[in-house]
Amino acid sequence: MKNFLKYIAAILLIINVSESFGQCKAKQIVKEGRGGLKPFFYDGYALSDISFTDKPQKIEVEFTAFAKQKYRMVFCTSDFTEVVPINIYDKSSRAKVRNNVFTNGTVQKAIWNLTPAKTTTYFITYEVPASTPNKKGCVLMLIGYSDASAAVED
Amino acid sequence: MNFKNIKTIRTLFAAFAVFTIVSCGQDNGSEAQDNEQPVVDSNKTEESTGAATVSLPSPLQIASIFKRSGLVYIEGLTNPVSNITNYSSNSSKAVNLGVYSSDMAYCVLNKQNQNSINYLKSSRELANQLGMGSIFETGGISTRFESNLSKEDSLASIIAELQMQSDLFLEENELEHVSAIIFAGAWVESMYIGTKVYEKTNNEKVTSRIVEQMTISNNIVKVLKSHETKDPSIAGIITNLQSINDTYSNFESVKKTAAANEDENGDSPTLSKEEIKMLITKIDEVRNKMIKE
Repeated sequence: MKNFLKYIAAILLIINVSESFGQCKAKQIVKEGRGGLKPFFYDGYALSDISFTDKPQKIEVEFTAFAKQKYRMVFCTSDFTEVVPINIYDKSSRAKVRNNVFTNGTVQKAIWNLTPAKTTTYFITYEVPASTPNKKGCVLMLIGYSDASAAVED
Repeated sequence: MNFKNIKTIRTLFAAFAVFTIVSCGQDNGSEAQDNEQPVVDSNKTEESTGAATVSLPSPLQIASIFKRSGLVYIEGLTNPVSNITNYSSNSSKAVNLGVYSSDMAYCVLNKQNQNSINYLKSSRELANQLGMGSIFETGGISTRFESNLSKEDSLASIIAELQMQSDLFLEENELEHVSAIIFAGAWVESMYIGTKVYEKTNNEKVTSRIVEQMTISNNIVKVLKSHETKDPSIAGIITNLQSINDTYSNFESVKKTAAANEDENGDSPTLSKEEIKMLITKIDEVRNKMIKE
């Protein structure tokens, strides 16, 4: 009985610690998502920590795409299942009017391909819904680029 | 409760402890579509919570952008591998790991096989000294590099993988500030190579790429500033990069274009010959400071 109670206490402690500490590391997320980049070369990633509150919030990532370069962005999430829509704009949230160049995606499913005609800084916004306060997770935007041909290695 | 199932409980506990829900977009044709007709979001938009995360390109991507614009190989431009003995502080090692990464990308994309190997070795040596040498052994990167010397695409793929291992290592070890320092060195070196090739060839496309790269220079400073408290050497790197930004933003052509543009995504300025010369001089100065230390 004593040992069983110790196990229960340990499990509860782990749950509590992981929920309060739990900002994720990129390694596993990148491992899961990198297949979606093929045949693009890995270029980098942007990791955004999410700490849910009882109010919705917006989290922004800034990304510059160079003219005529081909890009692919794969979005991955860790440690939450809430639906988080993505909107991508061609100006920051400070602008009075801006174009939304990508909709209908959520962080769990989205892949964004683009080849901008001119060098453009994009503002990716994660529309984080209200949820259990202090619940944590993260969104990782994995970035790939391509010149023309895919890399084929021996 | 059957206490004889403690073993089962233990197994379940272990499984729970390591289980992390990860979900990624899949390329199965169900990806969200780019808007062919961009939707104007004219409502007053709410400001985002907190500062935006900034994403910076890899040295390999920068090198490939320059290459597509006709950046040719010129012997002697890159930082000599013999300079590696100059770098005693962790900061100078990190900066020059970035410098050598750019040099390696430049050599790979211009099919300079022996120099590519030399820069791989120098990069590995500096990485070892910084405690991150394992990234070269993950997936047999060094061996694969040498086996694929004649295949530019394969080498580019390997360098991309090395970049990924480096990013993940630094993130896992909470050394993101080192990543920012490495990138600063890589970016300055790429700009240096671009400006020097332009000086010799007068290729206007290369100038356009140089101006294009200046669009991210403020972001590099922003990222460095976000890590400033983690390493006292970052202040000096910021000063150096800011001096390039200040030189550039004080050009008449840049000021005129900025005034005419509504925002950061407007038209790019066309620098005068004199302005290009001044920018080249400033980049030269910063780069030579970086590789001497």
